[in-house]
Amino acid sequence: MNNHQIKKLTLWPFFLLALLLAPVGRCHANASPVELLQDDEQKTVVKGVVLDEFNEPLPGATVRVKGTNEGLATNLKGEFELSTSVSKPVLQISYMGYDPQEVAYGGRLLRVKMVPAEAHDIQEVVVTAMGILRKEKSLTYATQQIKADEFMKVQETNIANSLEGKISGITVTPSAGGAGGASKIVLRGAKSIVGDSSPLIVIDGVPMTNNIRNQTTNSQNLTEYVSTEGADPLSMINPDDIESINVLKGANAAALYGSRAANGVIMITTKQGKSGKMAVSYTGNITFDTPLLTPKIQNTYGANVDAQGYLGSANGWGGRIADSPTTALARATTKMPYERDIRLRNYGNDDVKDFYRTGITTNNSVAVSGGTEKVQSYVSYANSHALGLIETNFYNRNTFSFRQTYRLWERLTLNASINYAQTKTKNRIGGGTVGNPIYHLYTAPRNLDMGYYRDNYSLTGTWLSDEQGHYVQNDNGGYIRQNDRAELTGPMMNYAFMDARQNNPYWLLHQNRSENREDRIFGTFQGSLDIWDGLSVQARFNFDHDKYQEESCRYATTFAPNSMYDYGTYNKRRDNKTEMYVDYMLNYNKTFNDEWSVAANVGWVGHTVKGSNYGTYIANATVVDALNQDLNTVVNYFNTKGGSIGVTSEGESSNWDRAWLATAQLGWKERIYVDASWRRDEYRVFTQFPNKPQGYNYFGYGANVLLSELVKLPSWWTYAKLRVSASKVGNAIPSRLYNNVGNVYRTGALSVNNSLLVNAKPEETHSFETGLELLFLDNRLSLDVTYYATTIKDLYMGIGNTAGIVVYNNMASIGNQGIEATLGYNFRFGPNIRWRTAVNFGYNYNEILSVGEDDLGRKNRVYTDVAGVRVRYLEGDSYGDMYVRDLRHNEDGTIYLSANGNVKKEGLYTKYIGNMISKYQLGWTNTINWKNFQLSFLINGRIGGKVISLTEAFLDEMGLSQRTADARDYAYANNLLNADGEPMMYLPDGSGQLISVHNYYQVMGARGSQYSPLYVYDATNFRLRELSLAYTFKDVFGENKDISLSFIGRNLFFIYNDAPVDPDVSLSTGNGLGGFELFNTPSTRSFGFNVKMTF
Amino acid sequence: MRRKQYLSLFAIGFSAMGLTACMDFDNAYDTLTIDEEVTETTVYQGHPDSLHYNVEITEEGLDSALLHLNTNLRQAKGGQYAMRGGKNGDYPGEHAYQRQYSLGPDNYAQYTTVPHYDFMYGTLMTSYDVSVEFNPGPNSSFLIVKNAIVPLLNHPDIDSIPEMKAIYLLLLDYSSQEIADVHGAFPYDDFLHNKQTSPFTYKGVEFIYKTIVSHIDSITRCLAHYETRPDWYKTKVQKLMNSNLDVCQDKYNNRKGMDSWIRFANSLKLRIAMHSVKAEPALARQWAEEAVAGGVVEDISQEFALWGYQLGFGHPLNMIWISWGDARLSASFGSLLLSLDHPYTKGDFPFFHKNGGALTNTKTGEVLPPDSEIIGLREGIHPGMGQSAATNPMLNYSVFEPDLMAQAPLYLMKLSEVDFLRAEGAIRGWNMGGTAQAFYERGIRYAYLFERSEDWQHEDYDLLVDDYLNLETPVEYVYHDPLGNVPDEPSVTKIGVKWNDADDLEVKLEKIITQKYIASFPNSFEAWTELRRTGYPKLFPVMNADEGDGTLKYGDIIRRAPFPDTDDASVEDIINTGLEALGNKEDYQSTRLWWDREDVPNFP
Repeated sequence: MNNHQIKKLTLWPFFLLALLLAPVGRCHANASPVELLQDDEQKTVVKGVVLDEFNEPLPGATVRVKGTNEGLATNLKGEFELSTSVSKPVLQISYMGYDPQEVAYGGRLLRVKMVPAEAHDIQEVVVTAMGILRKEKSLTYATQQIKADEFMKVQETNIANSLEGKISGITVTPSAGGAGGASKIVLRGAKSIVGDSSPLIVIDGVPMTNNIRNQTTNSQNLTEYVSTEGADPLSMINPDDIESINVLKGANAAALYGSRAANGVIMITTKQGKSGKMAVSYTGNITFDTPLLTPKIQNTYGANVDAQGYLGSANGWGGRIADSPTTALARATTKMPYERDIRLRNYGNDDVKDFYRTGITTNNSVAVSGGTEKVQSYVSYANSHALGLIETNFYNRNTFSFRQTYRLWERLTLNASINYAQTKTKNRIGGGTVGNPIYHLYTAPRNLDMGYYRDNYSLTGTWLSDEQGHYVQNDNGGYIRQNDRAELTGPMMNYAFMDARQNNPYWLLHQNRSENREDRIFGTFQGSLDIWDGLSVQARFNFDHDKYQEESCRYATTFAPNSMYDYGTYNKRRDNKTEMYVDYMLNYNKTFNDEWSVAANVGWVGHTVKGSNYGTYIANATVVDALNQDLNTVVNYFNTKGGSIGVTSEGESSNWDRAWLATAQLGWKERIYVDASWRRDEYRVFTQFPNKPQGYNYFGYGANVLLSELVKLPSWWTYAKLRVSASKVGNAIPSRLYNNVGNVYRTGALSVNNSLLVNAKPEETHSFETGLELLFLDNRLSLDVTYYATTIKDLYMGIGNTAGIVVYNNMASIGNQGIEATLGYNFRFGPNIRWRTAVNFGYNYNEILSVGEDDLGRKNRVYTDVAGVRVRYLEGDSYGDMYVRDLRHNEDGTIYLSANGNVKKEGLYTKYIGNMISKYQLGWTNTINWKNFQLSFLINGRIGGKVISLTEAFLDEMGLSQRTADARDYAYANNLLNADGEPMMYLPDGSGQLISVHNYYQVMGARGSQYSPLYVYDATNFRLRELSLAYTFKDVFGENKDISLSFIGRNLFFIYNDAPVDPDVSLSTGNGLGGFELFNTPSTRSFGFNVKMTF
Repeated sequence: MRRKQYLSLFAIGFSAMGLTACMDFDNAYDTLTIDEEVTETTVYQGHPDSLHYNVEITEEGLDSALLHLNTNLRQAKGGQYAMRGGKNGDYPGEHAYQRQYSLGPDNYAQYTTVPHYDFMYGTLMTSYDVSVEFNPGPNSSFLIVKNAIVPLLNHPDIDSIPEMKAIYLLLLDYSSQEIADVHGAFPYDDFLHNKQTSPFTYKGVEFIYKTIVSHIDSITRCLAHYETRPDWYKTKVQKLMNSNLDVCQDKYNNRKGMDSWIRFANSLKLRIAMHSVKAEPALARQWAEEAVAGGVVEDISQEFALWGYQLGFGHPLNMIWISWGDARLSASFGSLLLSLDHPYTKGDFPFFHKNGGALTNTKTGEVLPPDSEIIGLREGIHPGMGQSAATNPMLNYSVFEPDLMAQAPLYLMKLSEVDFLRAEGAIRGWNMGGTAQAFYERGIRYAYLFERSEDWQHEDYDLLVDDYLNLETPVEYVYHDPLGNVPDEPSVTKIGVKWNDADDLEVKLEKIITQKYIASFPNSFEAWTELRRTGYPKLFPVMNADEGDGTLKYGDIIRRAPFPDTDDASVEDIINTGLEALGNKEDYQSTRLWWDREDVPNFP
C-alpha cells in the first residue's frame, strides 16, 4: 500500500492552485530614496525612519546608540534624529511585540523595517534536525515556530501544554492530576498502536528521551486502584529558559533523526547569553485554580438505615436524606470486632465543593544574561510551586541553568550548558478508584456527616489481623503450626464504612502520604571549528542524569479493593537513569558565483540510556518474628527493614541506538532548493535476533520553489513558496527481551512466555507532504497550507488468540492524511491599534489500510479493550472505532426484561458507537495592542471524537448521580411504584415496560462492565483557553527596561462542551487510553497575575 | 594555520572521539536479571501423543535430552500448579483460584453463593450472570496448564524420556477433560499440537474423551514398560520425577516406580467412562472394567493432589471466603449437610460455622442472633453490595473453619471419588472388583477434605463417621432465610446415608452421588458434572435462573458455561467450528454436552 492509494485527497490541487495564483505582476522592492550625511565636529547625526512589517511608520519605537545612554523615541511619522559622539554608531531599535534590531549606521538615512516577534520571517535562519541551521526559505517541509512571548503570556508549568491551540496539527492531552504531570503530544494523528506515537523532543539539537513515569497502559489496572501518572522530562524544563519552539510536524522534517523522529520533532531552542550589557529579567506570576467541571451528584437520597438502626451498604439507594437519623450503628465484623457509632446527617450538603480548595500556582524566574564578543553567559533560576486543588497536594520545582559560549581564534566556538532541575511532589492524584480520595468522596452516601468525618478522620482503635500461620509450643514441647489473628492497636481510620473498597477520603489525604522527588542534571558541551572555506567540524556531547525517589506510606486500617491493610504498607523506590549522547558532524556550506549554494553534512550519532532501579514494597509494614512464633503486632512500621523476605527488588535497564547520517542541500539563486538525507540506524533491541539485519536505512528528499522570485506576482502578492518532500523512516519495536521467562525459586519452576514473535523489524513511516507559503498585502495576510499523507507500514502489534498466546508481528499498516493551515492577518486601526489574529486549523483523516492475515488468509482481528469498549482495527475503517456490548433485546426490538425485572447485556461487542479520535482541531489566537496595553486571547477546540466517563457509570450504579435521583423523584411524583413500593421507570425503548430505577442503573453503571453507550460522550468542545491583558510601563529602569503587568486566565470557560468532563484531559497518556475519565482530579480554571521586568 | 592550531585541533578531535568510549553499546541480554532466563525461540510442533517407549536410550542420550529440556521441564512443572490455581510458575494462589473456581463452577455446583455482586473488574449479578470480564474463568487456568506443558510434549528430546512425556500428557489430558466438561468443546487437537496462531478448530467432548482414553491406554503401557528399564535409567528418571512432580505423593512415602501413576491414569479413565455412561453405555462399561482391571487408586497414599502442607502454601479458599468475603456456603449444600446430619456440621469443632452476625428480616423484624445456626445463601439470589458484614448482611451467612481448610490438599484424584465411581459401576452390574456397599462405605470414610497426615484435623470426622454411616432417614430440615429474601423451602434431601441393598437403583445412585458430591467439596468441576449427568444430589432450585443468558428458567440448572473467548478471532473460530463441535447446538447455558442426555434415564 503506498501513498497513491490514499484516494480522498491528492496533491494535484495544490500545484494547480499555485499555478493559478502565480500571474504576471511582480512587486518591486522600493528603491531606497534619500541619503543624508551630516557631520558636526565629532558628532554624528543619525536620521532615519522606523517602519513596521507593512512599511508603515512605527511611532514610539525606541532608538538607542549602542554602548551609550543616548536614545529617543520615534515620532508619529516613525522618524528619528539624534546626534552622537560615537564615530561608528550602532543603533538598537526596539518596539514591543517586535524583535529588537541592531543596525550599524553607515552614513545614510536609515530605513529600519521591524519584524514582529512572532511573524513569519522568511529571511530567518531556523534550526533543523540535528541542530543544522538552514535558511527558513530553503526548507522543503512544514515547520511552525512559536516564540517565548507567545507561550509565556499565560504560563503553564509543563511547557507542552502551552502548545495546544497555537500550532496546527498538534494534540496535547495532559494527564489528570495537575502540576507535575506528563502530557501526551501527538502530531498529525495517532500512528503506532503498541509503539510510540509521541514526537521526539530535541533541546538545542540534542534529542531527549521523554518517557512518562508510571505510564498506565492497561485499562484494567485503571479501574481497580488509584492511578497517577508521573512526570515526563519535558515537565522539568523551566519555560522561561526557552527562546523558541519549532515544531517539525512530519517525518520528512525529521528524517535525520531516524527512527526516533517518525512521529515528528519538537525542537526547543533555549536562551543564550548575548553580547552587550548585562541584563537581568524577572518573570513572576500567580494563578488561582478552581475545578472546571465536577459531576452532578444528587442530594436527595442517602444510604439505607434499617429498623434496628444499622447502616446499610455504601450507596445512595436508601431513603430520603431528610428522613435520615443522625446516628446509626455499624455491625461488628471479623476484623473489627466491636460495634461502632456512625454519624449521619439529615440535610444535603455540597461535599464536593467543601473538598476542593482553591489551588495556587506561582512561577518565579530570574535570568541574567550578558557578555563580550568572545564570551557570553546566561544564568537563570526559576521556581514553580503549586498547591493543588486537593488539600495536601503540592508540587515544587526548582530549576537552574547556566550557559556559556566562547568564541576563540575566530574559528572555534565552544558552548557549554548545565541545567539542574529538582522537583518534589506530594500526594498527587490522577484518578482511579480505591485509594483515590476523589473516588471515596464522590461515592460517599449523601447522608454521611462528611463534616464530622473530615474533622475526625482518625482515632485510636483496635482491630484484628488476618489469620497468620505461626508455630506454637504444645504440651509435649514440640511445635505445631496454627493460624491465629493478632490484636492490633494504633491510629485507626474513623469512617462509617470499615469495609473493603471503602475509605474516609480525609484519612487518605491526611494520614496516608506519598511523596516523590526527582533530581535531574543535564548538560551539553559543544565545539565547532571552521576548518577551511565553508568546511567545519562539530562535536557534541550531552549527558542527562536523573535520580527519582518515591516513598509512600499507607496506614493500617486503610482498605484495599478486596480487604484491609492490617499493618499498613510501605513503598520506597529509587530509579537512576543516565543518558548519553554524542555526535560528530562535518559540515560544508558554500555559495558559488552567487548562484549555487551547497550545504552538506555528514555525521555519526551515538546514544545510550542506562538505568537502574531499586524498590522495596512492604505489604505488611510490621516487624516479623524470625522464628515465626509470635504474632506480628507492630503496625505502621514504615521502614525498609520491615516486612518479610523478598520485599526488595532491583533491576537494570539499558538501551541504545547509533547511526550514520548524511544530508545535502543544493540551492539555485535562493529560488529553488533540493535536498536529500540518509540515515542508517542500529538498535539494541535487534541484537537479540542475530539472524535479522542490525542496521536500517532511511531516506528523505525534498524540493521547493520560491515562486515569488521566479515569476512576476501582482503587487498585492508578496511571497509564494511551494514545497514538496517525501521520506521513509523507521520506528523501532519496543526495546525489551522477547524470550525471557521468570524464574520462580520457591517452586523451582519457570513461568511461561505466552507470546510468539513471528517477525520483528522496525515499523516504517512513509511520508509525503507538500505545502504553500503565501504572503499578501504587504505581508499583512499570511497563509501556510500543508497537505500530508503518511503511511505506517509493518505496524508492529500483538494479537491474542484462543490458545492464550499473543502473536507479535509487523502486521498492519495505517494511513494518515490531512491538511494543516495557518491563516493570519494583521489589522491596523489608526496609528495605535493593532490586532494580529491567526487561525490554526488541522484536519486528519485516518484509515487502516491493512491488518495482515492469519494462516487461512483471514484478516487479523486486531483490537484493544478499554473500559467496556472494544476499539477495533478493521481494514478500511479508522483508528479508534469503538464497539460495545448491546443490551439484550426481544425479537420485536424491545429491551429484554427478566422475570425479576432486570435488563441484561449481550456477551459480544456488536454495537458501533463512534470513533474516539477528534478529526478537526481549531485554534484562534489574537493579540491586540493599544498604546501600552496588550490584550491576547486564545480560543481553541476539537470537533469529533469521544470521551468515556466512568465516573458517571459508578455514580449511576451507586444511585449517587443526579439522574438517578430525578428518576426516583419522578416515580414518586407520578406513583410509578412496584408492589414493594420501589420507584420504577420506563425503559427507554418506547415499549412502556417498567423497570426499577435501582435495577436499571445498577446494570447500566455496573463497575467494570458498564453499558458504555450511556457513558461515551461527544468530545467536541471549544473553550477560552488563554486570556491575558497586559500593560507595560516603559523604560522604568532605563533604556528598554520595562515592567509589564498582566491579568491572566486559563481555561476560563467552555464555549461549547457536551460531556460532563473535560474532554481534553485523560487519566492516562497510554496509547488508546486517551479520552478516558475515572474520578480524575478535575482540570482547573485559573486566573491570576503576571509581572515581567527587565533591569 | 600554525602548528599550535594543528595541535589544538588534534587535541580537540582526540578528546571528542574519547567521548565515545564512555558509551556502552551492550547486548540485549546484558541486563537479564537472576530472576529471569532466556528460553528457546523455536516452536516445536511434533508428536505430542506418540509414546515410543520401546526405543533404546543411552545414558549420554538421556543426559543430553535433559539438558535440552531443562527449560521445558521447569515450565511444565509450573503447569501442575496451574491445574489448581497457580500462575507464573508459582504455587496455587487466591487470584487464579478464584477465577478458576469461585466465580463460576463453585456456584454452578451449588457449593457456594457469592454474597456480593460488585467486583472491581466486573459483576456477578446472580450465580448464572457472570459478566464477560469473569467469563473466561476456568479456561484462564487451563490455558496456563496447556501453555506450560504442551511445548514439552512437542519437543523432540522428550522422546528420550517417554515416561515423563506420558506423565505430562496425562496431566494435560486431566485438565483437558475438566475444561471440556465446563464448555463442551475447545480446540483440543490444535492445542495439543502446539498450534500458536489462529484459526483454531474446536473439538467436542466426545472426540476429546475418546482421544484421552486412547492416550491413557498408551500411557499405562508406557509406564508399565518402565520396569524393564536399566537401573541407571530408573535412578535418573526417579530423581527427575521427584524433583518435578508434586502431585504424586510417592516421593513423600519413598516409593519408587510407576504404580501410582498407572493408578491415576486408570482412575481418570474410570471417571471418563462413568461420565460417558448415557452417551455410550457399552463403551463406558468396557472402559470402566479395563480401568479397574489395570489398577485404580485403592489407598489414600495413592491419591493425587497438591499438598500445601508439604509444599508451603495455604488453601486459596481461605483468602477468598474469609479475607475477601467473596463466597459463602450455598443453601443447597447447607441443606444437604444438615439433612444428613453430616460430621462437617457437628462436633466440638464443626467445619462449617454458624452465622457470623445477627441477621434481621427487614419485613418481619425477626432477628437471628449471632452464632445460631449453620445457614447458607440461596443459590442465585440477588447478592448485596459490599464485602463486609457491617453493611452487607449476606456476609454473615456460614463460612468454613479456616484453620481446618488451611491445610486441605487440592485434590486431583481422591480415593473417595474412585470408590464412588466403582460403587456406581457395581450397581450398574459392571465388574468393579468389589461390592457397591464396600466402596460406598470406604468412600465416605475417606471423604473428608482435610490433610490426611494431620490427625487433629479429621479427629472429629473419624469420631462421627460411624454414626453418619448408620443414618437411615434424613433429619427434618426446612430452609428459612433469616433475611427473608426467599420463601421457606423444605429440604429436598429424602434419602439417608446407610447403605441398603434393597433400595432401588435410583435411590442407590442418589446415595452414591450425594456422598460423592460431599466428598468432592471444594472441587466443584466433578460435582457439577455429576449433578448434570445424574441429577443428583437433589438441590434447591436456583433463583433467577433466567438472568443468565436467558435460556434457562426457574428449576433449570446451568448445563455448560458459554465459550470463554470473546476476542474477535475466537468468535470467528466458534462460528466456524465451535458450534458444530457442540453437536450443532447454540453457545447457550442451556446447551447439554455430549454426555448430558435428557432423553436417556440413569438406568435404561
